[in-house]
Formats: sequence, C-alpha cells, structure tokens
Amino acid sequence: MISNEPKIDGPIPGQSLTAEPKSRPWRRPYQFASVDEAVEFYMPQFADETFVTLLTEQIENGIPLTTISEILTTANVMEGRHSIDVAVLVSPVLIEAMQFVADNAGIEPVIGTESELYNTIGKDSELVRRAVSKLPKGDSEDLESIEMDAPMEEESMMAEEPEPQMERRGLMAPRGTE
Amino acid sequence: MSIEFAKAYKNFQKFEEERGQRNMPVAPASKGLLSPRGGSSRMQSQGTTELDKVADYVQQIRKHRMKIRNDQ
Repeated sequence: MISNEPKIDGPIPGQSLTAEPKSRPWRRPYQFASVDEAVEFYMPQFADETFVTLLTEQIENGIPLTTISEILTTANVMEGRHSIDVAVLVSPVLIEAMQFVADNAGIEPVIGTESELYNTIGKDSELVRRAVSKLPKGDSEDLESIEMDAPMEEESMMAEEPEPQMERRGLMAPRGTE
Repeated sequence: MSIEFAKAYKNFQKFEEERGQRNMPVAPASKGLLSPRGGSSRMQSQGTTELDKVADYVQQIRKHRMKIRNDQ
C-alpha cells in the first residue's frame, strides 16, 4: 500500500551536490577497481577466526547468504573501497566462500534464491497465492465461489455514479437554470 | 536490495551453466583431409571478461570445497 505521507527524512533532489567535491568516500576514486582486487581484499577475511565465528552464527540463524554478501559489499561501497558494480560481480565469490564456511561448520545454509518469489518478480500470482493461503479455509472457499462477473458489476456501478459538480462562483460563470 | 543480489546470483549460475556447455570440446563434424583442424580456435577468440574471472574464482573455491568434503 502506498502511503500519502511525505518522506520527511528522505534526500532532497540535488542534495548530493551540496557537499564538497571528494568530501564523501563514494565521491572519490575507488580503492579497488577490478574484481581481482576486490577478491584479494575479501578472501583474507575468511581466514580470520572471529569473522568466521560470527559468520557461522549468522548462517546458523538462517540469514540468507545473498543478504550477508549484500551487507558486506554495501558497507565497503559506502567506505569507497569499490563500486556497486564490483560488489555485484564479487558477490558469487563471497556466497561460494560462505558456503565453504557453512560446510566446514556442518550447517545447511539458506542461499536466498530458494524462494519461488525470485522467479516471479513482477508477477502478482505469487503475492495473490500467498494472500489467499493466509485466509481461513472457509473464506477461501467463498472466494472460489465468486463468479468472475462480480468485479465487472462493481465497475459498471462505479461508472454510473454522477460526478460531483463544483459550484461556479466567478463573474463569467454560466448562470444556473433558476 | 538483496532480491537484486539473489537475482544476480541466479543469473551468474545460468552464465556458469552456459559457459560449461560452451567450453565442452566439440567433436569435428567430419574427419576428412580438408576438414577444419582442432576446435581450439573458437576458444582462443573469446576474451576473458570480468564474469569469466568470477567464474574461475568460484570454480577454485568449489573444487577446494569438494576436495575437503571427499576427504571427510
């Protein structure tokens, strides 16, 4: 549902241009420009015991590997280490490395591509199916019994309703039929 | 946003499959004297893209993973 309330804390168009040039990490040349450099930066982290322990905990909690790789890479984009393009390119390597960590820990990881939702992005069928599955059984049977003509009738009734006429009060407004 | 990463990973898996099929050695259609020699010319003409590099890294990690799994 779209809310009509204005986003007060959102950025104003052109706000990014109000800061001094090169004052933000993402407005400077990136530290790692290629996938090779990014892989060289990320891989040693998987040898760090603390990192691996924390990562194993997150995987065990069922957090998808795609989400973890997104968090990892987005943080580094914000710090100006690499671009978002390199982040997307390097993410399969990170996911594979995380699967390796999960294997070592004997955990079955959630990769994040299992859901059928990713195959039907942009289609309403999955969302409708989920919404219907949430309804109690009796209600879903009632839904099935509704004929397809029902929404059409509603639409036709809406069309027949006369539009409210605004009262014109200007000097040049046509005089009423009094 | 992680939906985009999941989509990117799925697309990468598709790319990997296609790459695997592409790199399969193709048997020459004919074995005559005038038939084209070898199937390597097509492989050599393809440049290495960033995505190929990523696929190579993933392959290396996967091999290592399988090796450790088999040892266990």
